[in-house]
Amino acid sequence: MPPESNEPTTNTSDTSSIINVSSVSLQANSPSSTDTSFEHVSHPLSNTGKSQSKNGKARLIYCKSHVSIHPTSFNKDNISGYLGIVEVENVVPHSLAPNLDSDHGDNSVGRKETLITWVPNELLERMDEEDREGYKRVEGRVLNGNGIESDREEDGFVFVSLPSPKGEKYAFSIPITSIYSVLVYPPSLSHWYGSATFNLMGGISLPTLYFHDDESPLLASPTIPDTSQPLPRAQWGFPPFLSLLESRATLVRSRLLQSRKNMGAELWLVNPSKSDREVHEAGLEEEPEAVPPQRQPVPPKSPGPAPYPPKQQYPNSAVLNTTTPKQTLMTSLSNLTNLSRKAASQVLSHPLAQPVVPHLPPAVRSLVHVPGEWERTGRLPAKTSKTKSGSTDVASEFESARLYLARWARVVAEEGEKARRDEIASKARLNNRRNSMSSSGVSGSDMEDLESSLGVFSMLPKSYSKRPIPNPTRTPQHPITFREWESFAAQGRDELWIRREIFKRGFSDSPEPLEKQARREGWEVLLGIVPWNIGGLGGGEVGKEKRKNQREQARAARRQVYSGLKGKWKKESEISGGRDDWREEWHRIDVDCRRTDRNQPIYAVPAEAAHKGDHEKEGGGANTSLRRGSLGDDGQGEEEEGGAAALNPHIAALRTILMTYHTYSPELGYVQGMSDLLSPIYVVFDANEADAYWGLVGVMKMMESNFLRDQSGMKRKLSTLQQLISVMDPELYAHLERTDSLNLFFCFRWILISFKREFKFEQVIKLWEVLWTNYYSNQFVLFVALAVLQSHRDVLIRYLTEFDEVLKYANDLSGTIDLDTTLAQAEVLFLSFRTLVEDLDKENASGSSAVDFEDSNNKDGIRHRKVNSDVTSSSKSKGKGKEALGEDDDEEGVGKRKERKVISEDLRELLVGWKA
Amino acid sequence: MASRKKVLLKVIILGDSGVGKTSLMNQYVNKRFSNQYKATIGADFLTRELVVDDRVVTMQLWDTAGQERFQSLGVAFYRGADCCVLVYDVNSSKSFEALDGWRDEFLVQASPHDPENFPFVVLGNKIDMEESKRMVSQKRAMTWCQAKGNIPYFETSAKEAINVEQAFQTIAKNALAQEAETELYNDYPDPIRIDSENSQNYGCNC
Repeated sequence: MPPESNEPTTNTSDTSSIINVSSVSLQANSPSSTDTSFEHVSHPLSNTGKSQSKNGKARLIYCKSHVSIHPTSFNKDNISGYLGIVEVENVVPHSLAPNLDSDHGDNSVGRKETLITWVPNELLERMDEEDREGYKRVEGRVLNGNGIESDREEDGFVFVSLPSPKGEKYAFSIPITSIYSVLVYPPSLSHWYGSATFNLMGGISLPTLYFHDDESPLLASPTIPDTSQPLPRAQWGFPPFLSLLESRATLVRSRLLQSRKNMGAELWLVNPSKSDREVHEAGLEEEPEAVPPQRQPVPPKSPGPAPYPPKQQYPNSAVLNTTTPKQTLMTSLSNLTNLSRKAASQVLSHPLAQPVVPHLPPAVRSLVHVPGEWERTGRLPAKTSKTKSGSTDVASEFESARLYLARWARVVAEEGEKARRDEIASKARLNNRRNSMSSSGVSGSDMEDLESSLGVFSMLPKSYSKRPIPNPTRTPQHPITFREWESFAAQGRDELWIRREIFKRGFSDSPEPLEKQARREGWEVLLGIVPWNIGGLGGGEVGKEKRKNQREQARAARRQVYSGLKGKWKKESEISGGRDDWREEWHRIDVDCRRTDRNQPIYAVPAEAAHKGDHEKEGGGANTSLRRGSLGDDGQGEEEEGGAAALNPHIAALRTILMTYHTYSPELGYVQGMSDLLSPIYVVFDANEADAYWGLVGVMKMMESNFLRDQSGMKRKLSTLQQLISVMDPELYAHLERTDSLNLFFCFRWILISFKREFKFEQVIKLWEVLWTNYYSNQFVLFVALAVLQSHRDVLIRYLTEFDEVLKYANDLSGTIDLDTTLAQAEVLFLSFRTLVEDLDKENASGSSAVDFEDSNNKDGIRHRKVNSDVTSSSKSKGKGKEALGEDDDEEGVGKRKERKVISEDLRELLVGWKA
Repeated sequence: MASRKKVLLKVIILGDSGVGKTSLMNQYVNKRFSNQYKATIGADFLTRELVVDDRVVTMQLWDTAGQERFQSLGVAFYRGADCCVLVYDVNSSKSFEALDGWRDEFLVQASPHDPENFPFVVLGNKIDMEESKRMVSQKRAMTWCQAKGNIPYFETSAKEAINVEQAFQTIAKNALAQEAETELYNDYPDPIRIDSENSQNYGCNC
């Protein structure tokens, strides 16, 4: 990369030098060198403004031999040399030192400049005796740990000649001020030699220097007994260099580079700018006491006896992801955005990535990609194949720098959130143990901990901050066991109680047949297939037996009905099998069933079939079957491809169920998405076709409106969600309005199939049984959607400015959402919403918004407060927010205009839950 | 490389469910075929940068659900489209016969300035399957394309990556021409060349 234009290139040609002080003496000593062999250093320094000190020599304050450049991968090509730090007086005109303050400008005379130099042995050989001796003397001094700097001892100074910028391959000498960063790899199993690469301001990197510490004769000096040093690697030569450098410049270790994942790589920024600093140091403000001992940053592995880095312990990069509160992160990330916007024309114009990334090895480079982040966290996004493209150019993947940053921010934030949850969970466990020992109940501090573990509390709009925050009640870690499930009926619990219990706990994931049976029976109740009180409640063993028998009878009856329905259309299809609409429908269903959850083992296509008939999975096969008029006959279906594509019998069953549903519910018909709804039901109902059919009927009773031909149901739900956002989070609402996203199409998939595509299969099952309890609300799914939006509101608001960005971001959340946290947030949001509505109603009833309601506890322990005026005023400013909070002004006796808020019918309906 | 301002081309991909819209898009953008794609619900898009006529353009490919009842949502996605890709499965006459409907639907919903000249490209996908399964002949498809104003036609296989690159290059080209047209007032110093080196499937010269 050529030097940037803002750094004037050297046009003083041949005589120009990096360090002018040295040019005379060197050129005299190296007549053989040619100008053309000078290869890499292009940091320019003009001829002006220098003063030669001590006969054109520079003061050597540090040096180290056996630091090599490896021009090729062959050892024979290695060039060994000396790394040094020298000090010269005032050689850099201010214009060339971008990081110097402007006041350096004119009074730079007498100012010392620190340079980093590297001189190959070959060149040193050609230097005069004094220089050689000087280098050796300083190195010895450095190694013995004797006063590296002895500013007050004039006689201790060693002055040496500096390499010529021209004439020697690889030799360099650059002012510290022109160094942007140093990428360091300490020695490790895979890197025998530690290395350091200097990256310059303009984006150039100097050749990597390898520390051949084990070859250094001086390291085996008498001060270090040979026998006590079994590992030559322990004498990693970079840290002393770094610590000296630290006295000359501000060094900041970037925490963006994960050293654990990158063979211990460290990225040190030299005199970083404020913005770089904030970005690379993100989270440094975090108070250490928030970090429990086990999470304390692990100090960088000190490879040898000398602790490293010696002066300042910068928190390890791990801290960034484990303990940083969201707030801090967001603050630092906002800088990222600001910076990137300047360069928004380039997709990867990442302020960090720009100068450094091109020089990083691929392993490190991958770090700045979000997919890399996923690997690190051990979770994979559901759409791996889509978003993670391995070698594909990242630039082509991401919509814009903003979207990229948003995802990055999300990953980092999630990590922080997750770590915090883990901590709190472990803390809670600890407390519980303590409590159980002291046999006292749940302590108040536990509750606080749990509260703070939920991001929602910090994210709720201001208007709620004054209210006591409702507590989530779910305890998914204690699912309902079969034994308990049976006991519920025996104890005579009513259905509302049961639904609440399922809402709170869900069923167990255990593969034990009995546990699976509990869930199945639970689902039969939730989906209206078998009434809860079938066979009566209570009644001991006799009652249990009776319930069992009656349940079986109910199932049998249903199965018979199903068989009738199925037989009917099958028969008809034989007669009218050629009818176009039938064929079309069958084809549509077939195509979708074949691609529903095919990553689930139960729906997997047998290996040889997959091999032979790949295309059948793509749906092409159905045509063949249609041509042969073998509609819907599963037995035939398997033959229809001439045995080429043995259809997985479970996929065939899904197809038959959906076709039956299609005939059974002609107005609705089959609609895409239904196969997604059916598939988990089929699994929970133990692959029983008839039972799964009734499960589908049950779920469709609840979700029918989503699939209406005119999409009116979905439109209404999205509109309700929109109103909910306007009430609960006006700021987010305003942002969505700005980004043209108020139609909430980016939530379409979430709502249409109840987050089926957003969670893993097993999690979907857990989510659905919670939703179907309709315990709080028949539309609890909207609160789940709101919870997801709330968790990402900061990222949405800060980074995403276009409709398509929001959509992409939302789609890509798939597979990343934590179910239990989200459900807890959803519950809290519901409770907050209910309180809000109650408050508004009271306010309206009393006809005054200023009335102070006495605090009182309602049955859920939610405290009522006077309505915070923030809610009303903020929603007032929103155009469409008015739909949600119908407002009309009326005159009061005082003559003062008063607002009256009315919750829209759509919103009010959200408060309707299951009723016996 | 062109140094002019970056162009974003918005391309909408339409067609019956299961004809391979998602697969085509992913083959083009991610260079891979997966048999794990699910039916698209709602909408999604992928982007790819490419060079067309010496210009670097970013193509944003919009993938929507194939079932027509979801199309009423399409308006939001269709707006501002520079090109519309109609996809059918050469092994399904029905999917081919639906092209008319998709085309009309798009023109109604997107209401481009100049519907007559709005660029469409037709892709007959899944040509990797046995010839015996083929339901729509090349001739039939090309006749339709010709009747609709010489719509460029390609026969593709997302699975085998046949003709995908070429098809999307043409799509980008036509979209860029459209983009230039709609943004006449913008500063484009050089005329965009729309004449092409005819790839064998380009155009309907039958």
